[in-house]
Amino acid sequence: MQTFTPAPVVEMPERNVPSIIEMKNVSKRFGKGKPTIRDLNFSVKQGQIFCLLGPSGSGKSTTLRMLNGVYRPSEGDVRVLGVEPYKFGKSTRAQIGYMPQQFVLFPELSTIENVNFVASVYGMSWFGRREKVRKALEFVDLWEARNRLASQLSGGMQRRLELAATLVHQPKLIFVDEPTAGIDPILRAKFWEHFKSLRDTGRTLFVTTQYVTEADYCDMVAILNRGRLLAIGTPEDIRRNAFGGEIINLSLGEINGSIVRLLKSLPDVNRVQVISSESIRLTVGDTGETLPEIINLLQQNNIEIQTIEPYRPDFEEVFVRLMETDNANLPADAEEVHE
Amino acid sequence: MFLYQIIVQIFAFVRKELFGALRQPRLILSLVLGPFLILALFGLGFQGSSRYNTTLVVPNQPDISTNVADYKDLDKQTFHLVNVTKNEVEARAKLDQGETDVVIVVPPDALDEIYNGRNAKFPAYYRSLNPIQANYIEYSTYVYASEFDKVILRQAIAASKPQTAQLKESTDQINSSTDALDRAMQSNNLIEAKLQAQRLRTATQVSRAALNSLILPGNSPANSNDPQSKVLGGRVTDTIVKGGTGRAKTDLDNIDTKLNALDDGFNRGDANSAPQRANLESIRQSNASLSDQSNKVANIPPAVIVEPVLSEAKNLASTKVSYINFYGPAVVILLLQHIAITLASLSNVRDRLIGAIEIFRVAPIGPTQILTGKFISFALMLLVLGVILITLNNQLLGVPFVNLQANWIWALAVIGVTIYASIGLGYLVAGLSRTESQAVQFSMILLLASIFFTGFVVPLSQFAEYVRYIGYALPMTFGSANLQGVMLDNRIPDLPFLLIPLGLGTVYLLLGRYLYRRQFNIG
Repeated sequence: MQTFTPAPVVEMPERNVPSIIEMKNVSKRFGKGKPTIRDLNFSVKQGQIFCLLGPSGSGKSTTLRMLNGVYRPSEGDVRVLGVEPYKFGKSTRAQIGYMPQQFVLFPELSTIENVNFVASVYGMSWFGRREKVRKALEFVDLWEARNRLASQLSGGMQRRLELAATLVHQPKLIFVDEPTAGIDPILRAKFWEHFKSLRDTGRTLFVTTQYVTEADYCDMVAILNRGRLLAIGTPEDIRRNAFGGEIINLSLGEINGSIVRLLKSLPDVNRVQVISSESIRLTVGDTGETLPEIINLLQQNNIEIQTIEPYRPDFEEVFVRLMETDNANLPADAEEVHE
Repeated sequence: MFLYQIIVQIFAFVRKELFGALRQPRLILSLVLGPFLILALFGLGFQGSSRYNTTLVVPNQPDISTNVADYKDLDKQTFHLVNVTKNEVEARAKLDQGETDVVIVVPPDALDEIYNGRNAKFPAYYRSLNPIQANYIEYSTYVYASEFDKVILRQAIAASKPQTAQLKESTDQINSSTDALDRAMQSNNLIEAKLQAQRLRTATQVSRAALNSLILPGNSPANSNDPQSKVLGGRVTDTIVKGGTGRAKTDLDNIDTKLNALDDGFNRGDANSAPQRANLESIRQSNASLSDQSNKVANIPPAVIVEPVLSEAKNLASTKVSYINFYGPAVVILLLQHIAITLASLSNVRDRLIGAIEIFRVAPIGPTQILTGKFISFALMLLVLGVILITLNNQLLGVPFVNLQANWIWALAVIGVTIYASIGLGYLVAGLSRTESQAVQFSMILLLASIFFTGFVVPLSQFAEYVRYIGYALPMTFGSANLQGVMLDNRIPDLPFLLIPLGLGTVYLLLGRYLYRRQFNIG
């Protein structure tokens, strides 16, 4: 795997990093029906990998299309690179790369011809694009396969070809719609390596995905369900918020009501959940501060601790919890978004 | 720099479409060889008129042959005689079973009908749902019946030659009687003069009867009011009447008048006065004229009398008329139009279906650059295809290209405007189609409309005015007529036929762009 070759974007001190994407109170409805996207509010800083996570039909692609100017919001304000997307001029568009969900390049053209074509569409002259085409193909390990027809490439290679075509004009902001859908885990990991490399050169990536485990690759995650934003923040923030704090798993010889009451008496313990007759799960504000307090309390009361450890739920668990909470709160007539 | 970028973007699509086409050898083959093979098969295989297997049913009489060879004179271009039979039921059964195409029945009582003053009818049976075939067979039977009538008429005229001889004899008799009358008048022998005058009158009556019995065009009082006298054929007939039998009748009338005057003179006792001599001289002159006319009439052959007027049409076109020549250029235009519509519409629909339009929407490129790039690539491909098809037409099928050195530029102009309008039509079809199969269906409908409503098979003038507008909306209507004129008749293209497709193409391109832009701005 090559390191990313395109020129880096100028980096700024953290406090001065501008929002490259801003969505304020954005809703989108098609026709006269109910809005398929409701009250979206978020911003994306330059140099981040921002993931929009959600199940199929949650409104990810619609949101993406509002950001790249294909759709116009019904309500609210969208700004990308400081401009309303549907008013994008050529210079703004030239700073944006877009990798659609499906392979949209041309099977009868070779790998290099496809990338050349996209480069030309972005107005890059033959001399100006030669080196960049090569670097983009090398970046995704397709230089050796440059003369193969796109139709002869495997599914994973086709996705990489699309990524090369998205990057060839060295965009500042890259929209990637479900890049890892339907590809094997090894290639998926490689894609995220690519994205991190791009992020490290100062580029901003807006990635939609329905693979919740990929959230941990992102700097910021927004979770979308039925057109509404359920959570937004760093993966850790979301994890914490999903369960109302951090989690500690505790195994004791025997669990009874007095032990539960004892643990609940600690001020930093938000929730006590009995898992089995010997194990219990505690939700606390901060594991680092609360863990010693729990150990002390149990020892003072002569309760034998078999194991005690902080538990970091995987994002799948976080996602399921958020979905369950959301579905429980939703009105019965809530509809799925058709993307 | 900005302009340079636009050019780069446009040529991105030119390259994409050209490379895409070149990468598909089957597409190239089907684009070039397919149309040519269709044209070649059409040109070589099309025979123009049909020959129909015909069964002749002859009267069931022992002396009539049923051997096909005995009727070889009847085996003409349209009716190919395959069987002669005396069994009409069997022949019509074969017609029902499709074993023969036409059954012609010779009625046993044809002569009786004619002698009884009625037309003899030869029924011809056929079984066809095709109106063109039906008309052709009926027209052919009419032509054969007319030919048959002429044969009979020629025989009748040949048989009427004795009347011509009798007329000649009568004029000789008038001549000798006039001489005898002259002698009687000079000898003042009134009785002999009256007798000779009477003989002269009798000879005149015989001449008049002979003249009336002649079969000649216009030699019938019924024809004098014929509306055809106003047209060419009628005037020719009139001329024949005035110069031939009409003049002869005038001469006879004059002889009668002068004979009456002579008779009056004889009754007054005037045998040889100057007025009487003048009357006699007038009779001599009229008879000389009558003799002259009768000689003329006697010299007209029966075939000329039957067909006094023959058409002598001359085609002033520069090349020989043939189906392959006529259809060759038209098929080139038809194929170019069809391929242009199909290529342009499928390309746009495909971009939309595979999602490429999503990339274009986000990229710094507009619909005009995309459509222009595609237009250039399609136009280049089709122009090359057009030149190849015309060359193959000319070199392999022998379709002439008159004055190629001067006219090739006009042929290119005709092909160019046809391609321009057809690609525009393709963009319009793409804008109206949601799927590739819809685009193909639209293209096929336009192909069908082009075959029927552009003058390709049936002249446009044979359609009602409102139907003709379908043809006027199709580039082929103008392209095929112009290319035929340029290639086959050394003509400069009709300027309106160049300008109309240009105008149509511009309208189609603008509409196509409008619809494409709407697809761009879907949100």
